[in-house]
Amino acid sequence: MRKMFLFMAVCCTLMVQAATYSYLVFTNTAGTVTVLPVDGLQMTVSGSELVVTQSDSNVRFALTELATMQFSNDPMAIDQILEADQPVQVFSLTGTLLGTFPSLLEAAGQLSAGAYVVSNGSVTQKIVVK
Amino acid sequence: MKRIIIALALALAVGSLYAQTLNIQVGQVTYRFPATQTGVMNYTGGTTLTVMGKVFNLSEVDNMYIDETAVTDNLVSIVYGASSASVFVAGNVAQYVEPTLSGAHVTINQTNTAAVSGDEITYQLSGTTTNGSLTLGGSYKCTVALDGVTLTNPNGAAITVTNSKRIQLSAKKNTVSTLTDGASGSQKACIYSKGQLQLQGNGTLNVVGKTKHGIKSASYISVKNLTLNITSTLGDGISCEEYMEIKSGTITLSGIGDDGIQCDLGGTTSTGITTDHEDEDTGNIYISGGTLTATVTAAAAKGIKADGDIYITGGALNITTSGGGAWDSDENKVKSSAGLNADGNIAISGGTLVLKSTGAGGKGISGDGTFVVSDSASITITTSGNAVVASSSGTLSTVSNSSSLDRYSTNYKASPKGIKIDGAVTINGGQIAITTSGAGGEGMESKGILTINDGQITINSYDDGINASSDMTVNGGYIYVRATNNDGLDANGNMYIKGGFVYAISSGSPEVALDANTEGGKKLYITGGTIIAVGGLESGASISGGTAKQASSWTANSWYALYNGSTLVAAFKTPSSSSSGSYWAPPGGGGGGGGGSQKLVVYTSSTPALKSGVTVSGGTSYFGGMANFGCTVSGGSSVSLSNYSSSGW
Repeated sequence: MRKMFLFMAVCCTLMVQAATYSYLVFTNTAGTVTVLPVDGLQMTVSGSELVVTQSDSNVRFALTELATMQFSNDPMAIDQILEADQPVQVFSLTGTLLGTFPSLLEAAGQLSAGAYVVSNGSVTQKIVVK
Repeated sequence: MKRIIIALALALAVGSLYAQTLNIQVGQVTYRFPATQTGVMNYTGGTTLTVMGKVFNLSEVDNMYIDETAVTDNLVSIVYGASSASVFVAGNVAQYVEPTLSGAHVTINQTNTAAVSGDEITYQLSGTTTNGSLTLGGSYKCTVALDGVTLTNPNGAAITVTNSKRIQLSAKKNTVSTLTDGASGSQKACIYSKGQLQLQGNGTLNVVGKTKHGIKSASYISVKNLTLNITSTLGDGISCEEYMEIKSGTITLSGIGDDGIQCDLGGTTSTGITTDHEDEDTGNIYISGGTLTATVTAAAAKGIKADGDIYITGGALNITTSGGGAWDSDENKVKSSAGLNADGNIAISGGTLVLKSTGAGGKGISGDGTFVVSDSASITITTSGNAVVASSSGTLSTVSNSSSLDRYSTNYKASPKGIKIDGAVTINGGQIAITTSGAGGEGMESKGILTINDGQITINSYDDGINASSDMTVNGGYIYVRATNNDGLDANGNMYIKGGFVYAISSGSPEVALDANTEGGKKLYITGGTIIAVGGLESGASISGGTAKQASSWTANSWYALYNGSTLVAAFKTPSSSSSGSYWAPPGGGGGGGGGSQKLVVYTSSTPALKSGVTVSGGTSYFGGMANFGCTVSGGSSVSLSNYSSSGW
């Protein structure tokens, strides 16, 4: 029995190492973050834009404004952005408060697709939810 | 419980196989980055994207997508199609691999100068094309793994490696790969490597060379495990420099235009043998295992040719040469074919060698240095060609009578010898069996001194059975020599028989079984051992340490028992009778003359005695059944022996 637990522990470790990501997070030169689910994600360069395609919708980024791209399971776990487990307020891009959420993760899960501004009071950033 | 654990393991293993990969496609090249390795990917200036150190020009990127393709670190996979190829590069080596493609012709420049993720880069080739190739450049070692690829380049080499570091060319287990180069190209080989080439893997590699060599390395080549078939070349089957090593595997060379295997000195001076062959440049060939079957047909071609030495400690070699002589206008010399040829020394201490040469002047083994056989070596040589001679203008012709060879100087003739060595020959053990049937065919010849300390030697030759240009010494071993047109053992210096068992048969008068250069003031010295000499001894022999006696008649194929005093030494048969006029007349004639006055001399350490017509049982057969040791004999009748007179016959 002890051997079995040991074996399972090793296997679990392996599974953790083989973990996959849910999001591809884009950050532009102004610090704006765009979070896109990775499922079925394709990217092509069209002229001066990076066109990110998912299903039948596109998101376009001006290449000159793109800074980084990073896989993540935590859409907020990017350098210089909000802590994922802190309460946040979510605003529309026009500044309307849409709600207060216990955490950024919960906010990302409940918000419909679109661009938002989130703030914990001291840090404010723009996110895109697909 | 065990079943549960296995089931869990399988389930978890399946789960863990799931991968997430960012693919970046640039033309026919797809770079595969495991999501877990990418970290932060940087866009710069709107023109480039850097992923794991690989900088992509965004204007060249065709597509980026995420899928579940599993990525093996350090692997570059090249899949050939009819008129194109696809290249897949593992993310961790992407920054070090620069592929360019033209149709199915793939060129890769590898830029790393050290291991990546603790390992070298592997290029795995698969698919089929009739118009493709691989060219690899770089400055760090790598592996080319052949995964059932069929690669034909009609205009050049199938694989060219300009990287001068060590390259492993490995055929994957249970796969068959075939590489073919183009005819009339400028390439040096179907597979060319500037660096050291290690041929290995448990798969099969077929090589079809249409311009020059099958496989060529400008450095050393080693072979391990691989099944390698080279079915066509205009040049050598395998050509390399520095040294060559065959450890194991199965190599078959056929349709070869020149030598089967040739190893040249890379530089101008040999480094001598180094520890683990580190930085060695000797032109040596080392064979310790495996099976090599080579058939070479070109004039004067060699099965295995070394600029340096040849060392054989194991393996099975089956080499057939059928080419005749060739006139070398540079050296003004007749060249001939040989199974093994070394400009240096040859040492064989193990393995099984079967060497057959059918061309005019063809030899089993030839070397410019020394020759040593020992331990468990087994060598069987057959030559059937006649001697070849050249006119003053280099026009070649063959001769069927060895007496006409005397008219030609050394450089204008080549005789079909079993073993021809310019240096000293030393036999310390092993088994050697030689048959030569063409005019001029000596069994074993040393241009220096020849020493036999042990082993079993069986020679049936047209010309001298064993010849030494200098002294010949027998200290031990079992030696049987039957020469149909000359002496049995012939020393142009002194001959010393100090031990061993020597059974020598000459062609008949004036040739003798044991011949020293009496005319040159040399002598036959017998101080020990056991001797049966059909055809007598060189006149003036010095005999001590025992007694020599002679018989005047004997019967072919009848068992004789030789006693030393009352102790049975061996049973033996003679190939022909004393009354036959020649001691052995081979099929088709050619046997020597003589007859009536010839004698059978026996020498033992005390007093020899002979019985004829004995019945033999048990024991161990030697010399192809011409003698038996350890047997018991019964019946028979005593042979009347007279005292030997050293004044000759």
